[in-house]
Amino acid sequence: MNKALTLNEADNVATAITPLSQDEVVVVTVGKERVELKVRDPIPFGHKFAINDIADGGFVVKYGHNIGAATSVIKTGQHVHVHNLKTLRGVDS
Amino acid sequence: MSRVQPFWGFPRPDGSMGVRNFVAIVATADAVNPVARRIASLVKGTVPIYTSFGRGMKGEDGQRHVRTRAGLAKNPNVAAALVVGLEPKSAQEIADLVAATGKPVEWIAIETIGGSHNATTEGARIALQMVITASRIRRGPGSISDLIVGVECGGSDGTSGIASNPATGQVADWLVEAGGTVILSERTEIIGGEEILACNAASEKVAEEIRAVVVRTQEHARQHGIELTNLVPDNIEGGLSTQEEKALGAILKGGTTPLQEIVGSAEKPSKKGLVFMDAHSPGTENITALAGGGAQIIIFSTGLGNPIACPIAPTIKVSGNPNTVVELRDNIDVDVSSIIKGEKNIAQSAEVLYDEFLQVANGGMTRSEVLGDEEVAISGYCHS
Repeated sequence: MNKALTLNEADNVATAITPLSQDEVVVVTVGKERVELKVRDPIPFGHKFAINDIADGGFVVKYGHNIGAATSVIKTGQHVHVHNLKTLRGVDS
Repeated sequence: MSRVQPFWGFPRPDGSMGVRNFVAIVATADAVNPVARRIASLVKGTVPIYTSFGRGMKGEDGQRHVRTRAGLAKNPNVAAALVVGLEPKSAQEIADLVAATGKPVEWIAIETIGGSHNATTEGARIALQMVITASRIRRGPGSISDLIVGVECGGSDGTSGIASNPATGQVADWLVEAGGTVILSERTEIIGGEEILACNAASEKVAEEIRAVVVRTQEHARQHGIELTNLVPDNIEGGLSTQEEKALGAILKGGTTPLQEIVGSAEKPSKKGLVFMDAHSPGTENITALAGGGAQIIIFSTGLGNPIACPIAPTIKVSGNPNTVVELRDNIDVDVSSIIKGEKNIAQSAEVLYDEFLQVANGGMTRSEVLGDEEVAISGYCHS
């Protein structure tokens, strides 16, 4: 069974659909490709992790759209959340 | 598979098609709600339409009340309507708006008919004949292009944005491809996502209008000392990181087709395809506005579960939360938790929802219709 979902093939993050432990290996389907990767942090249900390396300031893409910019380098498998992702609207949430 | 499936509906004089064949008993204001309810309780086949307020309302507020009450009666799911007023002027105002559709409409006023008993007796006689006449209308062949479908979410949780909303959005895309109209609404839900809707707009004018909806909503809130943001602490705990992400999760239920038009609360779209209705966000008020704008069916995506439905527009509850679909099984029509469980993808789950949609369009009852968990609410002025 899938442990994480992407919603668009352009996405660079996946959403955990079950809690994931640090170093757990997951398979994520991105478009037609299946990508195997190791998560580097514990990922709670509903939270995101990177499925590609994301540069500092790079866009984080979910649902095929930019949901914000990385505030530090994010490595594949790392938790992506408010500690390393910022809105592009110029207003802090 | 072809998404254009047979749809049989009740033909109306204005060329529209109903998925239901109700006789509506419409109260013009709260002062006459008891009489409208009493008439409806005496005559099978009728649906009372009543809500708080309606008397002495001014400006935009008053216009929205009249437009919504009339809009619910104009909805193609209504075969005929009886308007119950306190005095003739307000009753006739709504009756005239409904009469423009060509469907049978009559009005009574308690002040001029001789009080509650006379109004009830005379109203019940009129309604009885309306039901007899309406029951002779047969379903005829229609198509998806005859349908306006409202998409709604309520009781959202972490599963909404990854299961029930994308499944609803997939169905929205299929409906638009087949020539139908889909109305996305809930103005506060799009804060942070307006640029995505603007980028997806069919014209620069529509793009400007959708941005203006958010500016107006936030500006109005500021005037009342409220800073509106869509992201709250339990969203962040649930894994949502930015306003864009939250809004996208909500916008997903409208699908991916170009945004054609912005309409006001309970205003009927003039275009086919994806439309945004600038209306209040809370569930009961929003589904009232959607049906007031002509939506014959509402797809209501829910995470934690929300039972409410519109009495005029069958409201299909879809949930992707594996717990909700078990615990609230009396309320949930379509279970898309297979997305979360990893058993089906979004498109496969959306097919289950689309099949149920066609069943309901052809007369299959929703759980909320059977339960009677139906309500009408028309908001006051605040842009919530």
